[in-house]
Amino acid sequence: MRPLNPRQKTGLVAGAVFVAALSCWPPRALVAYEGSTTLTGLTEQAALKSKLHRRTLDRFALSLGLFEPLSLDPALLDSEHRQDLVLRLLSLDAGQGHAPWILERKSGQSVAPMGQTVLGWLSAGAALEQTPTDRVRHHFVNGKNGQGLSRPAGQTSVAAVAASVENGISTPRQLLSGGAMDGTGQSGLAWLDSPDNSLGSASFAAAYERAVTAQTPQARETALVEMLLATGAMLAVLEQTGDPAYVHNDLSTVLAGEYAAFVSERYGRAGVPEPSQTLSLPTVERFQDLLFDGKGGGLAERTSSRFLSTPNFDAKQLPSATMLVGKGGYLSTDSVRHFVRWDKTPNNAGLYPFSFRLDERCYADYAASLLPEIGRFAQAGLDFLLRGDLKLSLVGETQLHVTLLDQPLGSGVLTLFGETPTGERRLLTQLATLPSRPGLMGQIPLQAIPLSGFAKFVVLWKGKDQKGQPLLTSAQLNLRKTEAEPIPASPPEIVD
Amino acid sequence: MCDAVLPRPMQSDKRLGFAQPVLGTSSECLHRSAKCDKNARHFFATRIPRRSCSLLFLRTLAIFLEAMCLCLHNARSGVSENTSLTMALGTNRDPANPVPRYHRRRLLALCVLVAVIGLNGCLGPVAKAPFSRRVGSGQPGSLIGPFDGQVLDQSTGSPISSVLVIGTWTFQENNSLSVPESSHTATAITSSDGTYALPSLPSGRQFAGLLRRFTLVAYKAGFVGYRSDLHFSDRLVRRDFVQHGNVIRLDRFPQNESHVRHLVFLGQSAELRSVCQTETVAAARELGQSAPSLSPSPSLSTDPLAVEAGKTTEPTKDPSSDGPKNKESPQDAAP
Repeated sequence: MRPLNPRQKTGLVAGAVFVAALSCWPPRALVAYEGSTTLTGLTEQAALKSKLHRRTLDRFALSLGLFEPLSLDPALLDSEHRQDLVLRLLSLDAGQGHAPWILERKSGQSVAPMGQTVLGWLSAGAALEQTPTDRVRHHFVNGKNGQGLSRPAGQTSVAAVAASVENGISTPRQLLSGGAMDGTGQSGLAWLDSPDNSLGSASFAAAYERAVTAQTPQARETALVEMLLATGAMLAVLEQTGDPAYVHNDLSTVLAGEYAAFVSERYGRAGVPEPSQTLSLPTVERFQDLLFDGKGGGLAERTSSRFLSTPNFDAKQLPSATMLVGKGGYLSTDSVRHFVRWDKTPNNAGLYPFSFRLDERCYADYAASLLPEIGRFAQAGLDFLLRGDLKLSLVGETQLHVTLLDQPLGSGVLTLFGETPTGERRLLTQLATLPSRPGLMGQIPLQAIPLSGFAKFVVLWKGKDQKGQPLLTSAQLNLRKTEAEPIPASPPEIVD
Repeated sequence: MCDAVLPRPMQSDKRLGFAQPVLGTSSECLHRSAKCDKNARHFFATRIPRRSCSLLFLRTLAIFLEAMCLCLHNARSGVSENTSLTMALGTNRDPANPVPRYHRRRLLALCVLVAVIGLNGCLGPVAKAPFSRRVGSGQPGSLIGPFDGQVLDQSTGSPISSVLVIGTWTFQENNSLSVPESSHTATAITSSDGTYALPSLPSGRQFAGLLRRFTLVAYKAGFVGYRSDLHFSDRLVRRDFVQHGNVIRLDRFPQNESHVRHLVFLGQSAELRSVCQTETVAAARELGQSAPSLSPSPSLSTDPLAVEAGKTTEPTKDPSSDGPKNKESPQDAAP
């Protein structure tokens, strides 16, 4: 046996050092508005100001509204997404209060159910939208044209893939399997409706329908949780367009993550400000219009036109009358006092070029201005997703009146279910409905339906709204008033 | 959906009660179609922590380098591959052919290299703690812990016993978007002198990803709760939390304070759920009074029947005809 020659030894040592260095190399962090804190905080505040509390009372008979505990039974989930969803839920931050509780298994349950309040599930959905990491590539919405993430000029797909692995957006496994991010992504507008999005509009609609039509209470409750998760995730996509980097196609700033980290540290989850109640939003036809409507009213457009992402800025964008006097300072706009920090520093050629950057003062002003606005858009989005309120009323024992409360609807199908005292729902009848204005929408004859056999009537209306967009809505009528559980008026106890 | 079902190693998750794949595909089978390949990629992106991926990759690489080293050496010295692997694995029991000393040194170096890589992969990093070790010490605290302190009544200064103290360590994936990876929670109840003590993060949990933050929440009914990261009154960042000797002064809950605001501040954690039920009810009542109503629009029309005549359709299926029966309605689950 001969020892290795010096050249071979050198090669081996170099290889070993390379491997050790590679394993110790700290990858950069990719940071957006942090899901565990900022996005969940925005979602919570939006929910508290929205009509969701009333709607959970009226449509789903949840007596505690946003604070009603709901359980998710994984055994009732679609088998294709079950483990994926459960493992993602288990990873959530318990310190922020939206991670689900693990409940005790009952006999016959192979998997432990999970619990959380309505508000908690909604927030959990917002946090889930950022897991796994590569979903974030689909959150970009260019404020000028509504397009998604694209590679900067001159960057090849190979370079983008390498950068995505280096930055942690993609894993080595994704690199080897060809699934690594190539510097592009779907627009957030398309992502919301994408079949690849397990928490998108299709999931929302399907879960809503099951939350009304499923036969057993457990199945309906699990479906309602799925609906809330999808709602939270859709709101997170909307909220992300309130981050300047996401509307300026600026992946490098997202990777740097200074602004998002600042917001997370400054506000946490519970310190996120309430939605602005002075901002009036234009009428929207689709949920996506809240992100980008092509008329400057979407959140992406508003953010893009008023806020800056540093690499996209150069002195040519300054108004011609702008005078930069001195060695440095801040530019101001109508929206923020500290719009961008500028400096004039000498270079090697003896010239004094301007440089622009965002610092903590800019971040503070940006966040103070943007967060209430984002919250307002999220509130509007939540109200939009659950629009179309119905009211049921019994006229004698022969007619069930369905009244439309808030906005005109297009044609659709009204399905009536009867719920037995044990909670089991039975389909009773289906009716096609014509376009309706607010007011009496229809009357359902009940002659052939024995009222005594049911504790509750539930209707599901499925169709299109006045603008032709798909819509689901529902209502309940309790036939046994004594079953309703009044909320006790007890003050909080003081226990010494 | 698929035909080929391949066995894979399984391990049981005790909390959930179902077995999950250790390394394998996410769905029930390995697919050959394009859709299935996409699922497989999705699985790799979600199921296995990225840190573990890197670790696995580097360990494999290290073993590969080791094997290459031996093979290269033995190819020149005429030793067969099997023999070299036997030597490398330490299973050579032939006293007539001991492992040469220079070979042992090389193996030792390789083992050290693998150990360095393995330790680097296993021991997750810890973020800088935003709090001090003690009041006025100037020394940075440790997110790992332990934590101790005392809970006092702000108005009287007397210690408060039976306060629920919840400490949560939050891990994030180390090399990505601030994506949560897992969390660990420990609870304590203050004693008669108002003191609490939370242990350090168990060593077994330190193998997770980046230890990003530690959050302490203290709650007792009738008092305004405490969070280590934010003040309740103005929601500004709290700067007075310390690791040891932390003093928590709880205000009595004001009559006109919002229970909704208070509960949102505290968060809906599993530990708080059981002790906050009374306040949850109060918050629901409060929200019911303040939330926007769904009252009919003032422009309600009195249009007659809008249901299309003659288009009444029969139920296509009666779901009551099959399936299990339930025992309670959803609202029965309300506390």
